[in-house]
Amino acid sequence: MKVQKSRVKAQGTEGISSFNKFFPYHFYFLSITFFLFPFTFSCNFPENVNLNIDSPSFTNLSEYHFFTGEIKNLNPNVKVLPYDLINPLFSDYAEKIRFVWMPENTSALYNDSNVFEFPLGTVLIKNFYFPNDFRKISSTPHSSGEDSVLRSGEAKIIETRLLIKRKNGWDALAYIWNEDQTDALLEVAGGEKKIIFIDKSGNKIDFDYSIPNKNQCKSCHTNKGQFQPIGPKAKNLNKIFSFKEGGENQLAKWKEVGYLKGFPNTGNVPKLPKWNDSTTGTLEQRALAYLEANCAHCHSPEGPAATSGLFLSSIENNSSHLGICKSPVAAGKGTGGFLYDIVPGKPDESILFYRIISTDPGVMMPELGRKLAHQEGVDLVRQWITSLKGNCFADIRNHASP
Amino acid sequence: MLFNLNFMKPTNLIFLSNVIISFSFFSCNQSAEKSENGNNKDIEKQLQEKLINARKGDVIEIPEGTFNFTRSLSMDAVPFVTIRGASQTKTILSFKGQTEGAEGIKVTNSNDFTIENLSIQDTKGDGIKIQDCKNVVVRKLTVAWTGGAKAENGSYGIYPVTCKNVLIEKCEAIAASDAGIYVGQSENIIVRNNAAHENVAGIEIENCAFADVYDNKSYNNSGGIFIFDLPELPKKNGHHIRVFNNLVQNNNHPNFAPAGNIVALVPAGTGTFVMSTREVDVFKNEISGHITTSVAVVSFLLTQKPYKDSLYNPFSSGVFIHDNKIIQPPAMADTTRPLGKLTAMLFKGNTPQIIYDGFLDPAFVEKSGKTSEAGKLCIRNNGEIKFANINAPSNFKNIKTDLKEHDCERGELSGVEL
Repeated sequence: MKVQKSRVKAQGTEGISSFNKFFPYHFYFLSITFFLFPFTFSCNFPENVNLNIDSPSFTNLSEYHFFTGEIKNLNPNVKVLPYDLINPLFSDYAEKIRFVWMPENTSALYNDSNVFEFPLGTVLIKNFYFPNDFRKISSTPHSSGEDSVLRSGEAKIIETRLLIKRKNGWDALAYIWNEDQTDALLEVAGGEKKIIFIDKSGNKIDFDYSIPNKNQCKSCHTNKGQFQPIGPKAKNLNKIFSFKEGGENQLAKWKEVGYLKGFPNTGNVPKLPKWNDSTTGTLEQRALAYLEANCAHCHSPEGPAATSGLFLSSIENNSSHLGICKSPVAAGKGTGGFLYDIVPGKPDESILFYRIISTDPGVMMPELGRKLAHQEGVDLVRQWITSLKGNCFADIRNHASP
Repeated sequence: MLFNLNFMKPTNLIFLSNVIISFSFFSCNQSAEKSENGNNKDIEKQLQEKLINARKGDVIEIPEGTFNFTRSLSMDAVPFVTIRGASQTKTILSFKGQTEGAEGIKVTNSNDFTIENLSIQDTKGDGIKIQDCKNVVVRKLTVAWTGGAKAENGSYGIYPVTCKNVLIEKCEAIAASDAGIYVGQSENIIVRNNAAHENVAGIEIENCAFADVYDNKSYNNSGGIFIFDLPELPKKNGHHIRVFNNLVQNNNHPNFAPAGNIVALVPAGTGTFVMSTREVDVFKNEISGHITTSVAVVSFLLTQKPYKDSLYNPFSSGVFIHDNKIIQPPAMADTTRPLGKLTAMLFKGNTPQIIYDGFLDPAFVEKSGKTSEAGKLCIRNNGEIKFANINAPSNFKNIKTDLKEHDCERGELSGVEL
């Protein structure tokens, strides 16, 4: 019955989305109200996104109406805008499709270094899925949010994470998809799912994917003790995205749809190099951009790993804080028996490297959110450490008293 | 009973009834054997859900039994929560099968947090990590690695970090590959009436200000009680630490800390080790049976580790060691660590009970060349002991063994009040 209902909705949607191209939203509502009132009944007018920040979270993902049509196709509803990050966090090779939604007449406030200040009621929607066979997907699998690999059934969505900005701060919710891919259920305690896929080289990968519980979400998303989104910063959004209407810079698009205030629209907007695209930056720039995406949410002066003194951001300019010849703190067996976080020229004697290739929960970094090593990312970090010059020999005479 | 009245709101009744159901479920599983049967996953989930849904003032009780966990348990930003078991021997949270998380329990940004009467075993990383909390009480908690001292054990047993007002009492920490009880980058700390054994460091206070460590038993670790300060950390320049009335005994366990960790540098058989900290009083302790030395006072510079931190003070200044009972029969120092090798080389089998490396903060050297009172290492009334200033800045030449230069005292440091 449920499936039938959503099919009916799907028919209604297509009509509306083409209509949207020609009329702004407010005009659209006006016209519906005054001119097309009888018509809406006959063509099953789709419901808008359904969110009241004062009400408890829905049990079913479908209840929010973020998507229209068959939910597994992730076809976004009106004003649900797809976006992508230049450098995403590695999550066991899961592909991610992201959307943002904000209530009518609200927008985020631009700034060029931190996560935007989002209005109340904002929802960041992140869908995690695994294609059955990575060899069959193109390098940019999702161009509009409505993904052909999902439509074809050659992939499974595992979970959808929502960040909802409520009056008392961001709320993190994980919805776990059912086997039939007809809906996803809220699960505050997280969960585990067996995942099998064929990787790009044709190897069969088989592992237990972990869906975080609510508190685990917090352990990455905490900044200065406050829950914060991580991805949506200007420098990580500043890229062209293939929207249905055509390719456009994401920040410009956000501004265009009314989701971004204070965007300068000039050439001075920061942009991260893409970690795996050598045309976008030097080896060092890309390695640091990679470490920033995967480590800096904790390893920053305001993050939960501030206690380590290791700050892995692309703008860090103190070599010790970047880990170069830095002794570890509280690393325990995570040192692997090595003396320094990074030894120039020697990735295989560097604690940082040892920890990012490990999958032992007492050793690995990040501490959460992966069961597999990210081979391509690890290779980049290896190349960077190999390229560093110098040694970690201490000259105690500089410090010694007379 | 389970929750205070504040929690008894109608909107919470559904949740509350769940809790009560889970509670009765728990009580059916009182023996370790039963809890192994199938439903363990539910127990893990229920306890984690309680911590996720916890509200101000909740008391989360865990009944008798051995409960197995595959993931870290965590709680964030809920004040006045107590986690309470039946007792240290009856309520056991085992993380032997842990596949995720770098600690057994992690509590963050939660003021007025108390955990008591239970055991945490065999975590892959730290036993319990408590970060950015004010008013923390850890009482009658055992953290142990049941396979004994091994390098692959987690680093810290009980691990508060960047906290304020911390009380750790009547706890036991066993077989941590770094420190059994470790307080880092915190302020206002009392560590008392605890037992720590078979760890690398029994008790360690690192980069902290205002700590009282007393009435503890620290034995059969590689080192008994460490007071450290390290560079390049957000909170540094530790000071005002009192170590007194402790029994520090036979800490001669081979050092099994993985290299790279600062404690890996400390030779086995070290009773008390003070590094790069100001205003430290070590008094009225019984420090006995150590093969390397009973009390060492050193600078981070002795480690020869590089650092770039202009705000860091690497010197131990204003340390006062008095009225201790020190028994240290002649023995060969632990030569597996460079500092032990050095000790063995300098003193053969006849090591002084108190060793000072001789690094002196230039800020305390007066124009006349004398050390000002505030910066002095004072040693008084520790019975018949030998002393050596090994003069590391002069490459261990002109070792001074006369205690006269250190026969001084300064006013007692004030105690910590929580």
